Amino acid sequence: MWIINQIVEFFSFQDVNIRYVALGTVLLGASSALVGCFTFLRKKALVGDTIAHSILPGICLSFIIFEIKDPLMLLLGAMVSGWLSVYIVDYISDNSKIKPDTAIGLTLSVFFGVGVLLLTHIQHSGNAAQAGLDKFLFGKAASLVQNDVITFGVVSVLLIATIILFFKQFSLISFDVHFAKTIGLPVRTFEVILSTITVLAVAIGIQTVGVVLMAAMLITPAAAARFWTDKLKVMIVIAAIIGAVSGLFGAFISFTAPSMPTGPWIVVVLSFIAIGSMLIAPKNGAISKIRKQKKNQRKILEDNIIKLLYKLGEKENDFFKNRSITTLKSYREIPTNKFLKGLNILKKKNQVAMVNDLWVLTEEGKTAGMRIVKIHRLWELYLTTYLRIAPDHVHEDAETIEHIITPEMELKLEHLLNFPEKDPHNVNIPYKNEKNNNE
Amino acid sequence: MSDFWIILTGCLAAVSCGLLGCFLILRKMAMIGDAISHAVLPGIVMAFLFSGSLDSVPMLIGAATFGILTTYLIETFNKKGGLQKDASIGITFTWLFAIGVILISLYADDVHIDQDCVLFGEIAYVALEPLISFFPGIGAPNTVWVLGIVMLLIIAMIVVGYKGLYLTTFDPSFAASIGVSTVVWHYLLMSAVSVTTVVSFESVGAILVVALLIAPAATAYLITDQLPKMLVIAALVGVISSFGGYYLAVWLDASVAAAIATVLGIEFTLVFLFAPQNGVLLKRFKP
Amino acid sequence: MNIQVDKPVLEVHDLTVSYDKKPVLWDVDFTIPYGNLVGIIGPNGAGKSTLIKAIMNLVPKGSGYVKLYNDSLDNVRHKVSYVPQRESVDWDFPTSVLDVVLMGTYGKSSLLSRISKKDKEIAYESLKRVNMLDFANRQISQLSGGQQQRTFLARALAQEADIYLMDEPFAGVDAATERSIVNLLLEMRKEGKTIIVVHHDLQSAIDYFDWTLLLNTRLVASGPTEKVFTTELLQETYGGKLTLLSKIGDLMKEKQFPARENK
Repeated sequence: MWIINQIVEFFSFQDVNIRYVALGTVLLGASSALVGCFTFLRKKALVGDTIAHSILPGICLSFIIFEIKDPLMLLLGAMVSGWLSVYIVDYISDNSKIKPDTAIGLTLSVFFGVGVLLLTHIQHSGNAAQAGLDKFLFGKAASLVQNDVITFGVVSVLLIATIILFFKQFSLISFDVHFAKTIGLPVRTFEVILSTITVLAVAIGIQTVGVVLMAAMLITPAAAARFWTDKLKVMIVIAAIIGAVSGLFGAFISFTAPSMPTGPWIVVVLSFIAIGSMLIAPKNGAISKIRKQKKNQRKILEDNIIKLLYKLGEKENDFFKNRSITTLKSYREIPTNKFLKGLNILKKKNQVAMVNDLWVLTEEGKTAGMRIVKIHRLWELYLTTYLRIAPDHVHEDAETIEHIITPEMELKLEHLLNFPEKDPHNVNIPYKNEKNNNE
Repeated sequence: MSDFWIILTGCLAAVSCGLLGCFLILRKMAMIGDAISHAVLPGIVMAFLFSGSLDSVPMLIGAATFGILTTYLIETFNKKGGLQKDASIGITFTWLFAIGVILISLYADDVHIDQDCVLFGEIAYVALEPLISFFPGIGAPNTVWVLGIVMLLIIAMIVVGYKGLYLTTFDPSFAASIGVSTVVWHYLLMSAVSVTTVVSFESVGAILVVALLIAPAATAYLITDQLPKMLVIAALVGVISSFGGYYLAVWLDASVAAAIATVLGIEFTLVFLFAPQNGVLLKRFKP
Repeated sequence: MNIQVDKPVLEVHDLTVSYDKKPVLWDVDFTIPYGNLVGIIGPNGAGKSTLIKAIMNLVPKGSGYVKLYNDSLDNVRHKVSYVPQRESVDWDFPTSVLDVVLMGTYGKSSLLSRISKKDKEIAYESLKRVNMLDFANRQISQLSGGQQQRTFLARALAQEADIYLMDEPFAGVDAATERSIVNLLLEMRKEGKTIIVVHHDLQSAIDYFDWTLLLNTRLVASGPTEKVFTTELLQETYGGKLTLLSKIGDLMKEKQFPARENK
């Protein structure tokens, strides 16, 4: 199959060109992701977008002034105008009533406009050496040559080294600028260093993905990684891996279909990873939230059933009588299929048993039911005592909270209220090993 | 004569964008405008693929759809997904734009609708379009008709909906408290942005659209303290840039759209430095 | 101390409001009598703003309900005026004092209709009452804190409502302005209006309000000010958060637990 051949050919890395391209995109993906983590945390995710649009005039000017397409000179031009744009955004929003988002949009579109002006001017002037300047706009990894990759490699290593070296300081200014200032950290200096390496990352990254999509190389891996961890060190590693993998995939696509622009495919992969993370990541993901909510619903159902059985036992003075579902339903409105589901779960936990078609509490079930009833009544007492809520208003609250109180909290409640005997409605609060409960 | 059509096209796009842009920047949604202008690309391509033509109507529908989708996704990623606002914007528009570019290279590579065109537009093509005439004696290129109609619709929307736009922009909490749906007005505005973006694409391209949405409004914001005046000034700033940009492009033999954006930048800088009340340089030298 | 009123203008019943699943208002339950100047007092983060927002349906409720004039908010909106915190608005906005006050008349007719002469008259009247008539055409960016607050008040007056809910109307306002605002509120009360104010200062609260709500995530007390301002109740209000309650709130957030079973 053609596609399998392509995969084998690409990933065997036997072709020198493939090696260069793959290495280049992996380095780019990883280094942009690393730098992007910090801009993400500083809530300046769109700075990457700004810089990406703003480096174009610098590149063109450099070409016009020096009349040569030397990557280093172009890079220098890119750095200058990229850096200038960041400075201007801050300057505009600090020195006028213009808000930060407006300053960003304004700067990026004007800089880019100037860039395109210069670019089209160059193109129309027929200067042969300018061919390929426009790849800056859309990016084509397949055209990476050895020199390019060496430059990228060096710059990437530089970026990674800087991040490792100044990791503590960058973390501090990303999380808590004010604290950093109070402990005397030269915040401004480190912000400048961070901006510089961001501009650098963008300037080299653009050649792979192009202007519009560059922002994604910085933001998306960071955003995706954020869903998996709360620890910065882990986050940047995950982000770097995501960036690298996406870069590699993009290179692969470019290899199989050379006319396809690489950038978009890298971004599509990145976006899927990010959206996927949003959904499935264990702690912060949406699916995990839904799962937790379903779990809560299950516990609520089980608790309510066992509680009902216990309270019926209390009322009729017979905990171990066999009862039918119909009887039970008459005391608490729950749809039959749900009732049966709950009862069966309880049966598996050995808290109820089935006798013919009737249901009966077991010894464990009685203990479990008693605990919930006790917590309910303790909590009601807590609400009336500490929250000063009227006794006829506490039931619903307790109906909910009884499911969530842990054994630790149970102990605390008992101590706080000093092992009370009666709840706000003057009903007995059941404790284990009390004489009147041992029938 | 062709100069005239080109400049007119620029003016029409500028007025539409300038007016909407005022509300965008006042709502601190400049970047959402930027996002929408990029994210409508797949909508345009799909419209082209489904309708088989570059007609405006399917394009508008495709654009409006994706504009609304963009707005919705940004909100959802932010509120339901727990993603911070700036990242929600960034991820949404880059993803959609990427899809658009892929669609173009897969299915529409040979057509007039290509990446360069979408980004830069080529406003000069307007001069090459055949003149269409609805009224005897008045002929104009198709683009001009479309842009003109959209501009009139936008002006109508702003005039009729002024209270609602003003209210929901200035004080959304108060608006909600008197029972006004801020959500409806938000989507209304974003739909208008989507439509304007797309009709402007062909002539002025995505990047210029963003510049036209933000720069005139930002410039006007520094000049005046009154919203009605701000709207008028923004439109004026855009019109001036259309003239200035055209002649600059002719002089440098460069893209007209880019030249317009450059002139917008110059206008903004001048106002930023010298505006009577807010000019930075003037403030420094005040007694 | 939760004194209930027979025919309340505002009834809040077992209100729980959560932010990201963590409860910030817990089972708040009280009634407010007609024609009183009411203060909501409590420490920072007590949920005072949230309470007002919940009453105005600006934030979702985890449990409970709110009744105004024994009806739901949607049916009596024309009687209710909400004055948000000053910071909720960008004062760099290019608009004049008069235009802001005119907003108060928007609720009376369709949003698509033009501003009428009557609307303008009402706006001018309101400006006169707060002594801001001379500032009608002033741009709001040029206003001082006190003037901004008075503009908001004028807007509220222009709504011609019967019950006013104000979120920190005295924050960042000079003493003279505060005095004049209080006098205006007392005038309004004499006209039979009910005014509910989120307030941050204990000292002045005793002077200003007929009725006081003490709030710290839960309602500590509600009743006539003299009855409510006891050392014991104040200590409870300002004595920090209830630890166990806080822990349970955190647990609810972590487990994504609903505020009420059936939600």
